[in-house]
Amino acid sequence: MAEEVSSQMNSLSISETNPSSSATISLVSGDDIVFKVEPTIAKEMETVQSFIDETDGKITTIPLPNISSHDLPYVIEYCEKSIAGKITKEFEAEFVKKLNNEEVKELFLAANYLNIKKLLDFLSQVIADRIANKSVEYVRRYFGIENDFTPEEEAKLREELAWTFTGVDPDDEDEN
Amino acid sequence: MSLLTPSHSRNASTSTTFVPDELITEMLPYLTVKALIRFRCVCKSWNSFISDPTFVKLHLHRSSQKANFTLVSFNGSVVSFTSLRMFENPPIVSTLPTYQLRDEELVGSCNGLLCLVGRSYVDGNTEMWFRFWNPATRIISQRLGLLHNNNVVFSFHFTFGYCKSTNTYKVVALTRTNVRVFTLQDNTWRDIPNCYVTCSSSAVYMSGSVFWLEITNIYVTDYEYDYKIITPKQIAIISIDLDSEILYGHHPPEDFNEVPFVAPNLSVLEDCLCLSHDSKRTHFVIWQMKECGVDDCWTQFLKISYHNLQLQLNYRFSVEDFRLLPLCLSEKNDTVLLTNIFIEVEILGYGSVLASSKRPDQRKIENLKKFLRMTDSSSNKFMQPTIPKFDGFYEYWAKLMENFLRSKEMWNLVEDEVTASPQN
Repeated sequence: MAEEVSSQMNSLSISETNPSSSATISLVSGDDIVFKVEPTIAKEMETVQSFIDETDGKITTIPLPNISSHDLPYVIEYCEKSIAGKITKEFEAEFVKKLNNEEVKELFLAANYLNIKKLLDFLSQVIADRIANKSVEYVRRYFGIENDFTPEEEAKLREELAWTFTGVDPDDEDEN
Repeated sequence: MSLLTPSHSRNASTSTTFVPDELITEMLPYLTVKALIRFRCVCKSWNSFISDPTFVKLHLHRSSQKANFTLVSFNGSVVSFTSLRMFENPPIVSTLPTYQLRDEELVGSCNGLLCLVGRSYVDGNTEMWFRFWNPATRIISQRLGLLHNNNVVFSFHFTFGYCKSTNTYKVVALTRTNVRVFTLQDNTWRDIPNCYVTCSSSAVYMSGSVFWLEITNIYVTDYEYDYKIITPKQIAIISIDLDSEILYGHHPPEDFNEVPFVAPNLSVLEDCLCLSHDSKRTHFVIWQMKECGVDDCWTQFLKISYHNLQLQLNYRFSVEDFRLLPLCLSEKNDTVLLTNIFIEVEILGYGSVLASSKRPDQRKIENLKKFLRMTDSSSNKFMQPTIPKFDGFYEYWAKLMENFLRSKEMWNLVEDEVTASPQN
């Protein structure tokens, strides 16, 4: 699946926007790669659609500076499946399998930026599932959060909540 | 929704992707209870955010897709099934902290909270109290709502429910002489005026109201339900709205024109009130009230012969054999789990039968029975280390108590307790 996406990306990329192809929408990633998509795909991305609407459909090339050409094909793939009504448990499982923890975060940000509710909900669940059995330290590292408890405060809280610390996966330093 | 307090300690310059606080708060409600409580240790703002009542409500909303149903066994273990996947997955088992709750039994569950009633008998008087327990957060209240019953002949029937407008929980007590409502927030009992209960059978809670059956226009001198002396018109369904504490009357289905020889029962299936009863000692019938209001709308949900139920009826053909009660529906609505309510201990062990308009899947039944049996013998398997208690501050306690449980939430709690797999 990943190969398919990348080959499709190559064929589409670096094609300068052509005013005659008004039927399609051009999404320009942060690293200046152009992805041509059907207007129905754009509709799934509220941010893109409202941009189109604001200009009465005159502008069909949308710069998406916050989204890389690495992440955009995943977003498009998800939207395509969503339109086709083919978001199945199997598809979601396959989709997620391809993504490492950093990529999940990047897509999460992209889904938020593009305002794709379904994808945002789905990725929320993915992140939640991935960190559910992780240690407190892992979560701090994953989100770059600094511990602002004093050692005494933390020790007290941990003691109080001791029952929730069973069954936590050992941290794997290479994982991230 | 309140967001995490702005944090100066976030390090945006690290190589990992920076997720802003407001997006993290989007994700948090998707976590399980156990993980959430552990992650209160991440930092101060997570700690306060996760403990916030707004968040707790959000989490409840997120996790309450399909209701569980809960069974409690004699030795004090609570068994909870997700009706979504009741045959595919093992039930959730947790044992009540029996060293504390020796004399208490389950009244009901609502939003993941369990309501327990305790009784003690002193000089012919009964003293009763309630506790509210959230197995997912392991928080249990003190004894609340103390009741005295000087007349041991008049037993109480309790139902536990949630009152949306005031965001509090209530217990409705039905006795032979009156209806009383206990409000958790004020820790007070209130009598409902001009309300007399006759011959009430089990009451149920459904979407903000408590329903029970009543025989109208009759003076019954003892407890026995006697079908020979009543007509179908005398059987009515009464409900009390927990918000307003106003009583409503409902008619049974039009076609309910014969008084069953054992008392009919109320239950809730798929968020619909159900009336179930015997018909001519040959069939079991379930009616569903599709719409509750001025013109209550009933449809016949199931009519099945005892023969097709593969119910091994006792040859005595006694009343007990016919006291079936539907517990829940399977995901595809093709299977309903029934229980015999007469001998309580058999609810868990052996009295459970599965009914289906098609052939019941024998393998599924065996799986379920296996687990019911296992849970029956699971006393004290699950020890509670420390249980925070209600300290008198309702607001604070309530926010801790609110849901957090539901569906898969309890799975984490008992992951070590359920050992066998139902798939095998």
